[in-house]
Amino acid sequence: MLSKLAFRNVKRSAKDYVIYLITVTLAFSFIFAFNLMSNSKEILNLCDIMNNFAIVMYFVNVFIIFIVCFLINYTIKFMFSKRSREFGTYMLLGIKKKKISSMFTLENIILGFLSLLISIPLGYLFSLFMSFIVTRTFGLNEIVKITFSLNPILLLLAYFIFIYLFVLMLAHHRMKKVKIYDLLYLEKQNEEKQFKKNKIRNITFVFSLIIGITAVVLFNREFKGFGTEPSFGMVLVCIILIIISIYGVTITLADFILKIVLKNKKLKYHKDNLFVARTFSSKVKTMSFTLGILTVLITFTLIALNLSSLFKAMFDYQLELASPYDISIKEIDENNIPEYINFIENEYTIEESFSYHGYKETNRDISNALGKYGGWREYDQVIRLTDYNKLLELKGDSPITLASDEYVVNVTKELGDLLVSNPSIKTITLSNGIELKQKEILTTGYTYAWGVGYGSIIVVPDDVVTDLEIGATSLIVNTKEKTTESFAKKMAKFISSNICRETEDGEEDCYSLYNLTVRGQEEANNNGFVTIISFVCLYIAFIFIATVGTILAIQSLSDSTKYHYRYKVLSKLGVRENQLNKTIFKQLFIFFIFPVFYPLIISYITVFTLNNVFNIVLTTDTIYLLYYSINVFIFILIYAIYFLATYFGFKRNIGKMEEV
Amino acid sequence: MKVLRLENVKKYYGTTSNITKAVDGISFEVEEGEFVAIMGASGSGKTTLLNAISTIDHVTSGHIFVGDKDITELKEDEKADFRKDNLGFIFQDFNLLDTLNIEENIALSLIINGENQNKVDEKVESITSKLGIQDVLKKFPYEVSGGQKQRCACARALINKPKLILADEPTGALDSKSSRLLLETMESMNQELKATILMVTHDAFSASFCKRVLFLKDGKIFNEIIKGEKTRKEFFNEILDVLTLLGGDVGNVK
Repeated sequence: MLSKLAFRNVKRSAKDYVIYLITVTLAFSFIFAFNLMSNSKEILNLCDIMNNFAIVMYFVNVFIIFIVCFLINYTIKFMFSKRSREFGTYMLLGIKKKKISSMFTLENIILGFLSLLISIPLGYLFSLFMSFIVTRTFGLNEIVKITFSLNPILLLLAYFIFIYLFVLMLAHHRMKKVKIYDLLYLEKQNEEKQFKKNKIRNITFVFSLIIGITAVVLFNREFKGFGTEPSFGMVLVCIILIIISIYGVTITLADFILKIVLKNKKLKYHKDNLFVARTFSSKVKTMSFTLGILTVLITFTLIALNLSSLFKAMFDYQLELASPYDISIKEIDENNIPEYINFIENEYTIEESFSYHGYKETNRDISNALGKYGGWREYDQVIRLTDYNKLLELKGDSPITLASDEYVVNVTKELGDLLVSNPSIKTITLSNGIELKQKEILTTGYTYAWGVGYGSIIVVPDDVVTDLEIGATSLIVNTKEKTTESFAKKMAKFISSNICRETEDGEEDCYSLYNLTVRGQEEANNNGFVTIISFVCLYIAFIFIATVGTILAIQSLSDSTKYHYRYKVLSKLGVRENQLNKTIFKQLFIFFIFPVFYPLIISYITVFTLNNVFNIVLTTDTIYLLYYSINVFIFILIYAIYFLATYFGFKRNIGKMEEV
Repeated sequence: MKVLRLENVKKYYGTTSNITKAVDGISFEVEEGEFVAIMGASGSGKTTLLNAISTIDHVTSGHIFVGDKDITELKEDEKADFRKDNLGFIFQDFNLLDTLNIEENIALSLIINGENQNKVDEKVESITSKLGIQDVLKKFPYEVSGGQKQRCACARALINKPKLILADEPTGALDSKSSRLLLETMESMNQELKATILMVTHDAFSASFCKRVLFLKDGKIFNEIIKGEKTRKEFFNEILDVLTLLGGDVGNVK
């Protein structure tokens, strides 16, 4: 009978349970979709790097499940409070708490299973959408087919069982503690007010702000820029401090805003400000704990989104720097070139091939100027202007010119500053005695694409190199077709016998893969990293936004029924309907935007700081601003959907009340 | 036989610096088969008193005996069993479950406690025919009138044949016609089904249906009148007289 009643309750109160169902279904769909992806052979086989995807996801899941527990627990609490009267009546009729509790548990299990069932096909749909994104990332012609497999379903089931065991235990505990009187007479209890005295609140606010600033400054110091190693412990301390600060500011800020509004008479009596401010402040005061958590989640969401795009940009730029050409083989024996070209021709149509020499410059003027960043070579690499221009041309850049007594040095971005300020290299003397004046210091990078182990490359007029010893010969090939990872492996095997040489003590020394760069392989690795990182970041971001949005929506909607009398009073006082709607809009808007403010600032500073590290591997110093704006926009877009849904739901609830 | 006996019951709210004495040392008794009303202005403590008797709320001090059991000393689970076996409830706002239809609402406590299916139907039928709601059994609470809802609540309260039925402003949400109908129902519940009813109300008309009326003021019993052989009209007038007195001592009016 108990199960029958529970089942009926579910069926008949379906409308009340819509929010619950949507929440749980969405959460499980996301979990399922991401796990389906990370367990799918098709995805994992895209490239070697992707094998790590599944492992990374196990760790991320732990984190996600924690948040989903929080979310579902909140939703169950909400349903519990909505039905408190009903439970009160049960108790009044002499039904024992244990029985009511097991009925509620049963209901939740039924609903949970329902959501679980829906979430499997829905999650599959999500994963199809995601595989479309992956297809785009990898530039594949065909969409990767995701096949159903047992593993992610079992994982989902395991997560489901864990989450429900946990939240239902909490629910059971809540039921055990609750008094019949509270159920019957207090529709819903608010969270405890955190601050009884204004002074304590003010101190907390200032203190939290100071903690926040300190944390941000410390964090910034850890990421000063190239060459500084941030200590893990310090970063962790910063993160904890930032979380404390976010929490502290959130629970005190609303009162501050209220104070300002109330002190200023003009502001106070302007339109509905007084009503909105008071409503808002009472709301924040009673749910500051939850709001604090939400604010932290929003901060994480924004940072996760930004990290995802920063990493993507970084990898894209790295890819371009490392392999601007389809195939390049460095430091080879000149005699092997025809053999290599032959091998490549078996697989691809060669558009252009080009080989050039790097010359040894043993004075090491440039390396000396770079100090410890000068690299491990015993000489600087010099290449002829004609070769250099050809290299530029092959990657689609325009050539440079040099007078007969000039040189140009090209270094990687992070080293540029070291050279610019150095007067000793205004003129350099090559090992053959020729003096050259510095024309320019280029920081376009690519030095690693042109030679192994060089942070710098010296470009000199053609005839200057005559007496210099040839250091290395390199071959560059552009193919018509796209190169692949598997070709890279074949090629590496093919050349490995030739690029290994005997050292003085008779051992074989191989540089194999360092010498061979195949764009297809680099791309695959790059895409693998990008996919893993952006999936993890997006996974976190989506679940967090969903959590925040749902909790805010649930809060507002339950308020709309609980405090409908407030709006009734307003309407009795002569506020017209459209004016009332405006007030509701304003109030919800503030409620939704409030937990976003501080995270926007914090995440901006964090991204700004991280940019200190990333900018050397990003195309420009300020590109992160673009990413930041785009990510904030994406966040606001999804957030706005929740906001609008809440607004219309709220309006409908208030409207319904007026009819009654 | 005494169904209910209160001994110096007190219920205080608040802290030591600011005490509200909602119920301040009340003692009275209710005999089996009585129909007693408790009257008083808002804030006089009548609902608090009823909640204490209902075991919904606990008392600060004093004892409440239902039958020979002291309910102030029951544990939470024992209270549930106690309510199931001894008490029936009728509330101002019905407290029906809107997910269940009228029949299920009435049968709920029987069903949950595992009563035999056939017996449940039998009991529901017998009680609803007496209360005149057998036509709406399959409807949901939102589909029937307030009067029908409240009679459904009466049926639910009666179905276990409890020792005592507690009613909190049962006519509060009803129009005058439904009110009269309900009160007549309760009167017949009392007279024909021998149900003992304790009703809280601030409405003199409702109270005039009872056999005895207790008046509460500031948490204390202010007066008590008994209907005896009086007609309802006479009793009604008597209640009004007490209420006038209750409305304020002469000294209060300045």
